[in-house]
Amino acid sequence: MTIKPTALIHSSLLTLVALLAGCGDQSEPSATADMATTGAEIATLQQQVATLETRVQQVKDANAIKRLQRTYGYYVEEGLWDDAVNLFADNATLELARDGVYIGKERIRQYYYALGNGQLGLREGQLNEQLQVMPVVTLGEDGTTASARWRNILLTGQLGEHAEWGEGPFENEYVKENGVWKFSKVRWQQAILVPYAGGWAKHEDYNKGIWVSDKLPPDAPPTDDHRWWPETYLPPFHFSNPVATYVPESAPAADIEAASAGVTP
Amino acid sequence: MKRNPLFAKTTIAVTALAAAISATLLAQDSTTEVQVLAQRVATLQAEVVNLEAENEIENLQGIFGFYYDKNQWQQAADLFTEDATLEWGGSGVYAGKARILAWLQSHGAEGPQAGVLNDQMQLQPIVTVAPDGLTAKARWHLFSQEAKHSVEHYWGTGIYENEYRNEDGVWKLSKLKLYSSMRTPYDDGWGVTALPRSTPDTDLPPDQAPTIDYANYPAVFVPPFHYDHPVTGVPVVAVPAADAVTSLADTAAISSALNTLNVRIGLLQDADAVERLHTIYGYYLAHNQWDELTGIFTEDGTIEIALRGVYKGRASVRRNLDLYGVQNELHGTLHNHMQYQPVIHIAADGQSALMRSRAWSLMGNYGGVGRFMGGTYENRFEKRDGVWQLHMDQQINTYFAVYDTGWKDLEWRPAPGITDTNPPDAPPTIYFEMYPRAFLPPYHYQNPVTGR
Repeated sequence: MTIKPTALIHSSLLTLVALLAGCGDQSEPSATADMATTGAEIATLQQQVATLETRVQQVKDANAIKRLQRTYGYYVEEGLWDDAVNLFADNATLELARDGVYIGKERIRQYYYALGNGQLGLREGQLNEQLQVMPVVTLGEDGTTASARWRNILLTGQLGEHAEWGEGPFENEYVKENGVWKFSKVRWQQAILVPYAGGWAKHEDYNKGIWVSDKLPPDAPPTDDHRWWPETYLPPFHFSNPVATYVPESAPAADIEAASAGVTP
Repeated sequence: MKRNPLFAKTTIAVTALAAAISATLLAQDSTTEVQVLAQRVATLQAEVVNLEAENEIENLQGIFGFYYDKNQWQQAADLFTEDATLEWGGSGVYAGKARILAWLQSHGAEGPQAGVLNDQMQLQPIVTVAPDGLTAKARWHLFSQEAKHSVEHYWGTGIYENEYRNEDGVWKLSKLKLYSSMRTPYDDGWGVTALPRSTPDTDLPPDQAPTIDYANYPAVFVPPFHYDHPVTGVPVVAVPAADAVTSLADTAAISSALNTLNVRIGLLQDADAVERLHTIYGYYLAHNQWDELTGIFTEDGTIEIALRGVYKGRASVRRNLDLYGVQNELHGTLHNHMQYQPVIHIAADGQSALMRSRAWSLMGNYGGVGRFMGGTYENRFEKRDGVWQLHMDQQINTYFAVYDTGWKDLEWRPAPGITDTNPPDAPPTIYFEMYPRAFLPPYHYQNPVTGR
């Protein structure tokens, strides 16, 4: 909150007046006392407005980040690569599945065009549905950075050739530049990408997490050494438990193991 | 205090002079300051109105989806304005609420039907409220699972570009327009078969021909966006009503407005926190993180899933989770339980919340059997010591479908039920049936338009 210099001068004057008035006849409230009340009142209101503005901004920021990510999904699923790339900050990074890290907007553009075989928009007969669901948005203290986890559900394929189910979580970072939220880091972990016929019970990962890095080498290697389905791993969370991790009361390990005899629905 | 009369007189004179000067200055300055404050408060009010509208519209579309799932045509039609239009794929345009109801009714008998699966997931909302807060547009992703038992079953996707209008404080659908994208029989999948978009119904002809010519996948078509690019485009900003500033003429009016805003902003933050917590629940569940998951429950919280009964208190919740696998151990197992399409109602005091949401799961073991699970959550959250926690977690399953079978020939089975070796603290509070039998999971809310 900014305080205007004139307001400061007037509040000093107000204090002086109040002090002087205090020496005079106090039998009835004077006009100056009203002014004192008003000045203090305005300062309080200014404080309150500033606090509420900050809180509303946080709600708006979280919404803007959801809008950005969902829009990313709407662009990518149509092969609108230029629109998708324009959601990124200039020095952003992109790392999808096991393709490694692509640094900067231009490299990110090359990556998406490689995904689209050099073409803007989908090919005839191509399906590339990418549903952006399950946001967990966490705003930074400074109001200009944020992180979010999302799940991406993929229905991909080429009619007459192949079809896949895919899914996995994003752990993305965002930056606010000149009042506009952009991606600073997109990181998607591919939990599965498996052929439609048979699905995840019958098939290993369809592309072993490699989309285009065999044709367009990354600027940096993958940030972790995860393998592919059926290997399973837990992509780290950017957030801590919003309540608290449960700490069980001491129970013999054998009991827990016995209780844990997996019963699948 | 004993005072020197002369000193007092002088003081009074000086005071009077100073007061006269400063009062004039102050009067001008405080008037300006009050005006600046009024402007800021009016802006806040407009922003809060539009943020509330976003939430209400997300609820409205989610509520529409849950009614549609269960053939609740009358309830679904009641969410529209009298002059609304509906256009679904290649159906053509149905104009007016009565015609929309007729179109909905052409899809089957009223209410949940045995042998019918009609899940229509409403996902990925982009809600854009007009600057005046009275109308809105939204893009959504539709993802559907439809089946007639022993006859057919389909996957489908589409994009909605809908419009909404606030009538007397209530948000309604004024235009529902679905661009169907992909539809395929379950047995084939989208790599083998792509069905064309629908054509106008000859038994119930539309009031107007389709407004746009396009073809489903495998053709390439981008449904037009109602909104600008979030980075390169121009954002839509809430604008205060013309009389908003003048109605905040003095500090008393401003103070009162701030008190109201404080509560309303709190409820907006609560809705965000509840959706966030519900989603985190899913991420923990997906990786058997039982201690993390148990920790988001209130200490007297309950979990009730798949007719297994009620497990009450954190120790029991934790015990219940043992039924679904070994903590943190997942090799070759897919346990992806997703939550979306939340319909959230925060209590006026901001201390509790009720939420219906969609459950959809991809489950199974490599080398074993894959499964889809569809269902509905009806949960209760409570704010304890200022922190939102899950107080009642109740999931009503719609189906467990073996991957290779799908829904067409899915044999009826009861939900898993009580496990004798790890029994609940109380029996199930509600008995439900799964597809292909019919069941309507009770709603925590009434129709937001009719109150029924």
